[in-house]
Order: sequence, then C-alpha cells, then structure tokens
Amino acid sequence: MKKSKRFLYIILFINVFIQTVYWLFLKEEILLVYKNPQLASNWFANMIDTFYPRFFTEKHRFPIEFFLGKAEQILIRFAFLSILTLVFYYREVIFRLVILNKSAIHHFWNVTIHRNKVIFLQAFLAIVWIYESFTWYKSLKLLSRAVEFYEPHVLLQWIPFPSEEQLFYWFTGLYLVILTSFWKKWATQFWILAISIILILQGFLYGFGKIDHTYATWGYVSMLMPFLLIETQKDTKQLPAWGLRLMQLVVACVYLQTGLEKLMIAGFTWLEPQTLQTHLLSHPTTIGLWVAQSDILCVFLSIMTIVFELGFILIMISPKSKYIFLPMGVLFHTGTFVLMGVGGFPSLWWLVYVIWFLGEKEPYIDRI
Amino acid sequence: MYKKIAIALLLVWLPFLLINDFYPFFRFGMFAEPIKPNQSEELFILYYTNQQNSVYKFNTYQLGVDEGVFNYLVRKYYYQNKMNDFERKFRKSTQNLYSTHQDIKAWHLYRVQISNKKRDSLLIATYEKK
Repeated sequence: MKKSKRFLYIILFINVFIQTVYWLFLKEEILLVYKNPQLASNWFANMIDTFYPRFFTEKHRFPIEFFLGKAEQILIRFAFLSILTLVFYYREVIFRLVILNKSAIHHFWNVTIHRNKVIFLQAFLAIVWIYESFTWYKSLKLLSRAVEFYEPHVLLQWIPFPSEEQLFYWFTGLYLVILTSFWKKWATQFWILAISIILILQGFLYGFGKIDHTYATWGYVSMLMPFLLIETQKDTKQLPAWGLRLMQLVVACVYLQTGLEKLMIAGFTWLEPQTLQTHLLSHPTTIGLWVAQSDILCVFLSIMTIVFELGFILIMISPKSKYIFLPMGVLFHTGTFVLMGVGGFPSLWWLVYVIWFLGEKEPYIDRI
Repeated sequence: MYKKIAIALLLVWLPFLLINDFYPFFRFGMFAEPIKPNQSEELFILYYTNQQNSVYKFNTYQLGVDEGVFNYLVRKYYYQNKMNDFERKFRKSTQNLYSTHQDIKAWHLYRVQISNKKRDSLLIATYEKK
C-alpha cells in the first residue's frame, strides 16, 4: 500500500464497511431495539445507551422512520467524506493544478505571527475564561443540589461531581494554573492543564443532559492554543503560525457544519417561513415576535443565515472576504440574541474573530 | 504538522459525521430539525401544595437546574419508565430544602402538551411529603 494514499484507503474501507454492516445487520438491530429491546443484542443496546442516550427517551415520541433517517444520514455523510477524500487525493487530475496543489497548500499554512500577538491571544482567552468561570462557580454550586441526577460524560466517569468545598479548590487551582501558563518556559504544559480543568468543569455543567454551544468555538481555539504556545519557545520575534491558521479553519468548519446540518436534515424546507417563525415563537422576545409576523422577513433572514453559514469558509480561500463575513457574523449572533434571546452580548462566537487579525502572510524569516 | 492538522480536523468533524456530541467536540444541529405542521410541545411542570392546600409552581432553580434541564430530566425518566428512580432522586435532592419549605404537603408532577393553542394536562405523579 502506498504510504501517501493510506489515509484514502482507510476512509474508503470505513465507508464500505459501515454501509455493508448497516444494510446487512445494523438496520435490523435498530428496528429490534425500537420495537422489542429484549430481543436486540445487549452490546448494541448498551452502545446506543452510551452514545445516543436520548434514543430510549425519544423513541416514545418519534416513529422508527425518524431514527432510521438519522442512521442513513450517517451513511450519507460517510459517503460524502469518501468523495471529498477522493477529490482531495486526485485534485491535480480534477483541478488541473489550479488550486489545492502542493505549493498552494504549503502557502496556505505558511503564516507567521509576532510573539507579542501570541501572548495577547493567550491573555485574551485567559481573561474571558476567568470572567466566565465566575458564573460557572455559581451554577456548579447550585447544581450540587441536583447531584443525584448527575450523569458524567464518558471521559469524566472517574471524577466525582465536586462538593461546594471542592469547587473552591477546583477554581483556585484553575486560576493558579492559568497564571502559571504565562511563565514562558512552561507555557504550553500549563495551558494544556488549564484547558483540561476548564473542560472538566464544563463537563460537570453539561452532566445534566443539556449541552449548550456558548463556548464551542472559544473552546476549540483554546484547545489549539498549545500549537502556538510551543512556538514561543523559539528565540525569534516572528513565529510560524500554522496553529493560528488551524484555529481559523476549525472555526470556519464549525459554521460550515451548522449550515450543512440545516440543509441535510431539513432540506430547503428550512428556508420556509414557518421554520424561523416557530423558533421565534418558542424563544419569544418583543422584536422576535414582531419579525415572526412577516413571512417575507423570515424567509429573508433564513436565506441570509444559510448564505452566511455556508459562505463563511470562503474566508479561508479569499482573505479579503473577512471584511464581509466577520461583520455578518457579528450581526448574525447579535441578531440571534435580540430576536430569540439565545446566546449573549457580546457573544464569544464573534469575540473569537480576533484570530483573523493576528497572523501575517509572509515568508517565515528569523528576526532576532 | 500535517498529521496534527488532520487529527484536529477529524475530531472537529466527528460529531457531524456521527450526528452526536462527543464532548468536548460538538454537533451543531440546533435549530436544524424541520418543523412539522401541528407539532406539539411537551412540558413537565411540578407544583406543590402546602398545608392550606394552596398550589404553587415549583421553582426548579431551588433544585439547582433551569426549567429546560428539569424538563429534560423528567422526560427521560418518564419515557424510560423509571419514575420510581426519579422519585427517589427527587426526594433526596429536595430533603435539604425542607427547612425553607416546611409547610409543603405534596408535590404534583404534570405532563402538559400544547398543540394548536390547546393545552392538555395530565397528572403523572404525586409525591406526599414523608
């Protein structure tokens, strides 16, 4: 097997394997678990209980077609991934060397960042996490009353939900670790530790069945920060910043996913006025209820949402388009807050756009 | 470098591929579900009565959770036929609240369905104060 194509073969194999197993075996198992769980394989029921715990709750509300539809969505997405991987590997044949060739990819990742900007980003992330942690502390103290209902995520099974006293130590530890992460020699290690503590505390908050996405992109950027911090060990002012590029790509991928989810789950019916109207009515605000009265306005806002979410990835291809999509993003998240009361102001989703103003597109030159 | 990038991207796309959250990696399917005509909304609401038989809505924040989480928890135990478990956990969680709610006589849990502006309520459990 050619080493360069190993990844392609793995993806194709997984795709064929999943499709085959589903149609020969898994579909029948899903039907059994839905209609008569006693007859279904134990391991399969346990797997569903672990990874899709809502199945056993929602199966009383939705017909079997709903769950089969979801399972087939997974197959479609794997098929889609295989096609994308194929296109990527044979890009030179397909695109005739115009885009995505080796030098273009190298050029894409060849960004630099000034050392001070890395420290600025680290400080910005840290300050916001510390600020948010004050709310977490209060929420976790309250949640400790409902500890009986706590269901830890798979990764946190061995960490008990903290008592009020233990919470104090968790947060004190977090602040000390964040502070220590500004010590250049150990910056990467302590930042990884700080993010791990943040993820554990967040895991406690999400251990009651509801996950919210307030910190999603902020968390992703923080998790990728070690790739920038490790570069600060070098004695140069300008540092290679592929980590920053990766942060940008990940945030753009998140927007792409939100747009694709809407189109793949609901199709173009998502653009019909009833969709937004229903969401506006179930999250009522004064302005939201006023907007819900207009079909035209609802369709317009839905189209703009899809255009924004699917179009955001263009920033990665055409850097100047950030002057269109980043203000659109600020409007989008502020609009969601004003119309539905979802999220907050300022939203971490657009504060994270700072990562588009730190990199410098120039060859990596050592400047001591 | 490219290996690290590939692994990071794979992890970020995994929830999208498998249509599920894999904490700390998320699926972004909020607001993506299609709206069906006459879709009904389901709520679980807890009331309590005091010794004078006055009825009050239970503030779920006293239990430490907001109404959305409370709704999720009750729905889960209700549809999985684990309401005995729910009662045990609820009693244990609220026992420390007794000092501030000495006069509570019983809790009444209702399942409320709202569709076409019609509201149907069903009493699904009553927990007498022991």
